[in-house]
Amino acid sequence: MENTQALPVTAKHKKTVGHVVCEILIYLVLLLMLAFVLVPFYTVVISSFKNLPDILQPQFTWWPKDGKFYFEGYKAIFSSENYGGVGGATLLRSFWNTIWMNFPPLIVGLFVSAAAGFAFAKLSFPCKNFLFQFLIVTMMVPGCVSLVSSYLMYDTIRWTDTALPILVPGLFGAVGSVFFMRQYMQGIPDELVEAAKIDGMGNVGIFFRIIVPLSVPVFVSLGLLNFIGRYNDYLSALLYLSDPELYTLQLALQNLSSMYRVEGLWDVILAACVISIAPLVLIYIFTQKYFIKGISMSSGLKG
Amino acid sequence: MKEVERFRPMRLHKKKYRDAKTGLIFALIPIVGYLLFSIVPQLMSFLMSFGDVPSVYFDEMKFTGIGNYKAMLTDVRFWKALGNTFFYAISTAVCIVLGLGVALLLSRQTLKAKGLYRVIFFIPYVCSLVATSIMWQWIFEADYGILNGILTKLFGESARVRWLDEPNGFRFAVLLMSIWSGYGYNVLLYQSALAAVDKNLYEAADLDGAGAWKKFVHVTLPSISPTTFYMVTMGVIGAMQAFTTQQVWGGNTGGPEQAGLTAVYYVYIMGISAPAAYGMGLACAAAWLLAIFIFVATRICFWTRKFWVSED
Repeated sequence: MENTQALPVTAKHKKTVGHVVCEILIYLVLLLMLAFVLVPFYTVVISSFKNLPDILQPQFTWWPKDGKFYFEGYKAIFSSENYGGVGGATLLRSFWNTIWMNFPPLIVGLFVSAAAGFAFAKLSFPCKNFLFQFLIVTMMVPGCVSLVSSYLMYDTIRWTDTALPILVPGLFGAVGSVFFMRQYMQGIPDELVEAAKIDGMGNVGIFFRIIVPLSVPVFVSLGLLNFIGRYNDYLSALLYLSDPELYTLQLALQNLSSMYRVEGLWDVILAACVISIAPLVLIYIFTQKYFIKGISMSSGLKG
Repeated sequence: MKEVERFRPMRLHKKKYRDAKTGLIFALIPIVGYLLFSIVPQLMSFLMSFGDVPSVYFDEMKFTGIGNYKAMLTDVRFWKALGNTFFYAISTAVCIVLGLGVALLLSRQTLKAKGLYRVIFFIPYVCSLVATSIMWQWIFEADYGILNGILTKLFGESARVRWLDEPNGFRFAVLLMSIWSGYGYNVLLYQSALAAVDKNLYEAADLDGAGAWKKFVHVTLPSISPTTFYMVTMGVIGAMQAFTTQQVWGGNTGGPEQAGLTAVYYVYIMGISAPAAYGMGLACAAAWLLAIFIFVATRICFWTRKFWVSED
């Protein structure tokens, strides 16, 4: 990965002035791109530590005016209890909601998808090809189609305003995950499975004792990707949840921001923003190796 | 054990049967889930698109034939929403070009701390669109935002732009934010693709006396074309369903002069936020029309593949 030769520099003109200028230009462009990515984060984080009069200055300053950090916005989020006046307490509750609504489907879904991937990769059963083709076809229908009707469906079975539409479907696994699990497990030698069978191990035992331990990397990568997708999911909460007590993090964040923007309480909004992003960015930075592996794997490209 | 099996074919049969049973059960769980939670709403949506759903009760639906489709195809707002969607898709193209450019710069051997760049460029992609939309709402804030702060400092008070309150400012803001949040992903994919380019091809090109530009056009671009194809196709599918940023900024109105009204946003307004005024049937018809557009667009992508994508 590191020694790519997309624009190779031949030894001949390595030390010329033109080359040095070129090198400086490249660093400048990269620095500019870094600034493009990081400055928005910086302005939000630094503003979240200003006090409100300082935030609402007509002239943005890169550092708090009196040089001191304030935590009013964060205090509002961590202290308040009532939803109507201050949305802070709900942000914490919504964080908890996001966790308990999404972890069961995340974990169970991974194992279910892995089991299906194992079946498609290593077992022979009737209609195998047909079922696999079916899964491929289902992935071609865009999600926008069932935006409205799924709301109506969940409303008909009285699932709206409960955690069920977010919690239950994921328990059955995800088609995308089945694909990547299958792809990964096809790389596990058949001999291992055969040997275990000869030793009298059943398929369930083979799955849990051989396939799963060998698939830990794909579990981690897919688990991370799914976790981030679920943590950031806004649409399903927006569609199915109207009880503020059940709001997930993203919905509560949007609700809080639209409520406080009217009053101009940007310190709370920005603090909420930082709090909601921080866990993911930290997880990403510590796990980025698995993460990047997962991305290249899910794109189906070499990497 | 092995010998025992050879003499008792019954056991083998039993094993095959067990394979079939567990295989079927394992494979069927996600399929059942898919049937229940995706196919059922898709079928419902298909039925609803041909009917009038006056309240939120599916059984009160009255069939109206292709009326909904006719209404949508002659609806100015629907076409406007589609036009907006296509406009915002520009960001996909910019992300691809920018992603390739940055990946090329990062691929230089002399560059230090490549991993760090990659990690940083990818951060926006990890963050939720809601949070980043609010972040950018703050940046584009008309009175206190940093962007207007810089503009007014440089060019005086007349340079203040009410970004999110006027259509063109809104459009620009969405584009800029989409580029910001999307291109890191492409950098990542292009970096892997560039690293996988066959080095012998470059050596062969060197022997032929090809310059850097020729090598780029004749070796690099064709070699990474499968990655570009993936980005274009997935980008088109994603861009056609753009929704979150526009909705976070536009609330239930569609933004200033409905500049933020994308197709999915329109479906959302018709079917979810104001079903009494529009009707869920109309929303479903619009969603299916959009699905047809997406299907055609993907078909076109696949059709053009033979002209520019090199297959292994």
